[in-house]
Amino acid sequence: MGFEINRIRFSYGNNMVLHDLSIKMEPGRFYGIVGPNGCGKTTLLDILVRDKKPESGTVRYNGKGLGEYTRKDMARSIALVPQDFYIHFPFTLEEIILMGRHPYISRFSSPSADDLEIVSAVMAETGIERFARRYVTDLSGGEKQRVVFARALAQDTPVLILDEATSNLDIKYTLDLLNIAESRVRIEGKTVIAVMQNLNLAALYCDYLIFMKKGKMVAHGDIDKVLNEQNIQTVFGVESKVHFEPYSNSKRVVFKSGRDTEGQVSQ
Amino acid sequence: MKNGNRFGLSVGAQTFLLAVVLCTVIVASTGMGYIKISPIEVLRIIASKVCGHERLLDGINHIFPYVVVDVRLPRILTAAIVGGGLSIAGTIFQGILLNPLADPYTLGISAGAAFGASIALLLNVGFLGIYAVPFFAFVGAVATLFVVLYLSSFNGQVSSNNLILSGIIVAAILSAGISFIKYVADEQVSVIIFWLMGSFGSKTWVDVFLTSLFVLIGFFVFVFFARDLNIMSTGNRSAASLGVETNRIRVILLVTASLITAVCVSVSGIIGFVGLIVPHLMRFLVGPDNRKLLPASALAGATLLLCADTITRAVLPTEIPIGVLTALIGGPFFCYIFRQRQIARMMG
Repeated sequence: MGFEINRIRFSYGNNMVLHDLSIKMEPGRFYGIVGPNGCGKTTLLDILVRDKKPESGTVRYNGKGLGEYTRKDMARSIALVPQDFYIHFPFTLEEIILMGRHPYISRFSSPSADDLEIVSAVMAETGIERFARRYVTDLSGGEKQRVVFARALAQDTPVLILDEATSNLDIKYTLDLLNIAESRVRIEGKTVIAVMQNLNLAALYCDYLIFMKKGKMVAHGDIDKVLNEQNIQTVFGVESKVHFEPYSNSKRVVFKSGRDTEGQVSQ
Repeated sequence: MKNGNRFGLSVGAQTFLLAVVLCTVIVASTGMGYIKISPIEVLRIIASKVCGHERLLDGINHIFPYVVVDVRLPRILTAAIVGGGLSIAGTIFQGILLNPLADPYTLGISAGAAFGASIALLLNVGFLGIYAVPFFAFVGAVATLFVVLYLSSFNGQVSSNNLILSGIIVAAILSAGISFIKYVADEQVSVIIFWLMGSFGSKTWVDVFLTSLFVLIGFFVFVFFARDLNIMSTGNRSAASLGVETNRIRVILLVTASLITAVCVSVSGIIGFVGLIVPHLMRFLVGPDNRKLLPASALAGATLLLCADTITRAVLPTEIPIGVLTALIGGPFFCYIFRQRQIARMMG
């Protein structure tokens, strides 16, 4: 069950961005992928949603190769919240979220009562129902991100993929959104795969962490085991201290600035 | 989900209203011109032709049926169909290129058609008779489309930015070619210039059938994929993850829209701005949902271009080229949209 990724490779021209990557991802867990910019995280997600095809190796989902699924079946299994999105046309929020039901509505038929119910439930859950009639082109970047997240929830898939889905959000909405994703994992047994930049947020939500660097997995495993100073040093090249924080009941990563203790900027 | 538009009219009622307006304009403009014919007489003449009842013509000047059926209607219907065709093609181009400023000519289709037509006019091509120029224009447009598609595709993907860039490059080359043709054309140069400015003069029923065939088939293709296009117009990566076959649908829609454009240009010359403005106006009226936008654009585009053609044919003292008229009205409107977008971006 879940994803089985076996020795996949991918390159852009001569530039290999994924080297023989293998990993299994199971339902009911929150996976985090961290790594420096350009380490191949987004390419890996593109392969999981079949937007790109690996040059070699296989990706299986629930025992079947990804290529064996129809586009519609894929869309009923895996939802993606992309990092950036361009909505230049004045759709209302409700119309955008209803698009999440696209894979369930056959051509030329209208959305069913179920579809509409899911849409309003998702809008209530993400706290955007009061914007329902507003035009998406009038929203701020953060509000748009919440709308696109809500659309992925409306897709109601066993797998939810977040590609830096909270990058434009303030801390309240970041926590709200990740709490919703987490509840899907804990209560409904779904899989969440999230590319994250913030290690402390990863520590707070992820069960399992994958460290990537230059297209390779440097370390992966349960968050308590792999989130440590050595891995952060190897992957990001920065010094840090990792300790357990009782307040958040999670690990916590702290960093030092370039200043030394007297407040001088070191060379 | 609400079904009404921004003014509370249901979509059905609104489409019906637009259709009524179009029919009224068709009847009214048929009666206008050097010989005035009343709307009632126009309707009676059309009815008698459709049903074959000669008695409906009683008491009508015997020249009128000839004027209506053989002279005016072909021109009027061609103008309406071309207006509708350019508008739905514009709607599709704007949706696919994720760019509200795209129009049917963005990919260089018009330059291709103009180049083809200029060659036919320069060489005074004899075969195909009066259809030589439209035929060459069509071939030029289609050839341009394939060159642009070839230039902008990479790894089986066609990106919007690549399409726009390739379109501009190819159009620039073709424009230089047209300038060269004009330079060497000598006496033919005025014919070329007049063709390029567009006209619906001396259209026949063959033109009506040819354009309506392409525009109707295209319209059904567009409506078939309208919901997919809605999703694609919010970004291709998320569209793919929502189960839309983005690459396949993008190519189908681009080719269909370009073929409609090619046919329209080849019968009428280059008529700018209709394909840009009408989708905008209708988006303001019915919203961006292509399932509502396409019928509205088709009807409004037909009405608008027919009005413009009637103005140059029957209202102005001398006929000015239709392409010039639409550009004179459309150009300032384009500036307005552009300015609004800049202001909106500064606020956002």
